[in-house]
Amino acid sequence: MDFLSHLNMAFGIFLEPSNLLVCFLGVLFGTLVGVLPGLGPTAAISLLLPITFTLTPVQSIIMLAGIYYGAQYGGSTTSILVNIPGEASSVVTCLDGYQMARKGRAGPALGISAFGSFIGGTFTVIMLMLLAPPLAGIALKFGPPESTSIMFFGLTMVTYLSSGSMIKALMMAAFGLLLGCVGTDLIIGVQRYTLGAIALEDGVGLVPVVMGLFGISEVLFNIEESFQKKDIFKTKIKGLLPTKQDWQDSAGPIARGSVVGFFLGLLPGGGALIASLISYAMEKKVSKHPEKFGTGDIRGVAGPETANNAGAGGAFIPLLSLGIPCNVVMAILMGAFMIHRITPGPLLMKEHPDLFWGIVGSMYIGNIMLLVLNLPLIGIWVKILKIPYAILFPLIFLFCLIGSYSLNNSLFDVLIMICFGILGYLMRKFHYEAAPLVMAFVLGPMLEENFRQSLLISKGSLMIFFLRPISAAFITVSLCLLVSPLILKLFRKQRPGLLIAGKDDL
Amino acid sequence: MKNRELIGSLFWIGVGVIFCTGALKYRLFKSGVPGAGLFPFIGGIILITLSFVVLISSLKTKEEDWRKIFKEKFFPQENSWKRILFALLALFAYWIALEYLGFLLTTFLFMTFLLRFIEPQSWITNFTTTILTTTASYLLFKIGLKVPLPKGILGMWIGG
Repeated sequence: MDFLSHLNMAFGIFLEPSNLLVCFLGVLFGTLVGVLPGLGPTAAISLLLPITFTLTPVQSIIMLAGIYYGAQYGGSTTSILVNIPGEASSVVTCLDGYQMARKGRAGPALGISAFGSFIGGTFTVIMLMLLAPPLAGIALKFGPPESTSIMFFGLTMVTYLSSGSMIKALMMAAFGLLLGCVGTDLIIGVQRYTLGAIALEDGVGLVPVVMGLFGISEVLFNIEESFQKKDIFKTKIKGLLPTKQDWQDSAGPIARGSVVGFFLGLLPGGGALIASLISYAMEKKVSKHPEKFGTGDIRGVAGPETANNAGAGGAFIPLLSLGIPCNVVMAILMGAFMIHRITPGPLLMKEHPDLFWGIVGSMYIGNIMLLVLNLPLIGIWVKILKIPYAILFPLIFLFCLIGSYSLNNSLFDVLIMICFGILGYLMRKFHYEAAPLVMAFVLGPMLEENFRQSLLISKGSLMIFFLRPISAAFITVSLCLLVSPLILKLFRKQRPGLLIAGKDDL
Repeated sequence: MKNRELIGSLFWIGVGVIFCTGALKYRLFKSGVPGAGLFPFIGGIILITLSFVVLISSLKTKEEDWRKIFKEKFFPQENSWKRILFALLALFAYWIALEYLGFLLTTFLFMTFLLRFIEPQSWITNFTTTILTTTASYLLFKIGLKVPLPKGILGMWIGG
């Protein structure tokens, strides 16, 4: 099939009213959580996972994807109007976005970030359509050793790019792998670490784990301190459409943001946050007047806001074509696929073409829906911003409690969720990151299966990973990444605890 | 902060040891090919080794140096521990009470408690929010998504 017939198929599936509805609900909810500070896309997807289980696989994935890219849109609103990032990937938008709002240009700032997001989002959907099928074709030829080394590479990248200490990130990845071992062994069928509990025979559930780690722990962290009144910018937002001059200034940043964001989204461990940071740094470098950045320059809004949406879209490619999630949200989406007994990866397009093209179609329309939701309806989002956290946080708790209960109608899952909530809270206090844990937890069972199958093929020799070219390349790069901090340490006199303390903390 | 690093690394060493001893039971190799225990054993060894690195470097680093790296205290505010404790109590109480008191009553009490004791709201706000959320969540989960939420004693009185 060629490009156009694919496109035709995508829209055919997507234009069914029920699919349109779930996509709308997805982007609506995504914008909502994007707008609300203290509730990121990861937490939002975790919260909504149980609800999507009642939908068909296509609908559930469309909805979850909508939440993810919708949150990228919504995040900018909070950054611009309140100077608090609605979610992490909008951090840099605060720098110039809020300054623009203070100068009375909140409208164009919101406008350009919505248009930029739209362009970046649409660009990546087109790239997704063009790139995913051939990539999946290559991936079909992969055997267990290749899959093992690619997953290993993915995990390495996530720990390497983690914002905190790499050693601690690796520890969390190791713990995630161990957690993934709980339950019935896939190859021989032995029960492992179930402590005799029937509820654990299928393993620890992904949903209670992520709800705890991202939902409950986030709230616990936020309620430590008394809530301050949010200082919402009190001017009428007028003139959402950027002027001709704005467009001229923003064209370059939007174009560059789309490309950079897309490629960073592809990278394991990358995604929306890094895309927006790099885009901002790049625009500042390229600009003839870098001193204007931070004072309300529209380019500092257009670039990063485009890049974070492009990054969010780009992240779908490795998941849908190779079956490798490259960030934690994709890992959760992958878990959602598997709960519907669908394995994302090279076979997805062959076995479930409706699913793949349904997602692609939904991303086209979803981006248009978001443009409509975010521009004319901006007033509603500003009102929602005013809901105090004191009222919001019990709601998030309640949603987590009922959501985890509803999975199997069991209180056991609720207990698991509360425990992981406490663990996640303590992990934050002790400077351990949750993302590598969840990534490894999702990838663990597959990694183990492929690892053991490889060793079965090679009769126990680890050399199999180095003798096949693709596998050798990925393993070598991963090992280099893992060793590089140690080598750097030998050459450089280090401040105490650098390896342990996060880069952020220094 | 030094203590936090120590406690953290010791905790993860413990976790690693538990998983490793389990793995030995599930056999690392079975007639020459990897058994069910090999993968968790490797994972456990990695976790233990890295935890030791954290442990040793935290012992070597002086407390003053840690203060330079980690500026924050464990709790940012004097009554933080109370707020966290109340929240955890509410969560566990919900978990225990759900089957006995039923969804409606438990949720009502849960919301009232949280809105009262963590960041006190006026009773009017408290009850409006509580009643609205209890009803809305009941409609969404019980009626909309058909989750069989526990009825508890309240349900028995009504006879539902």
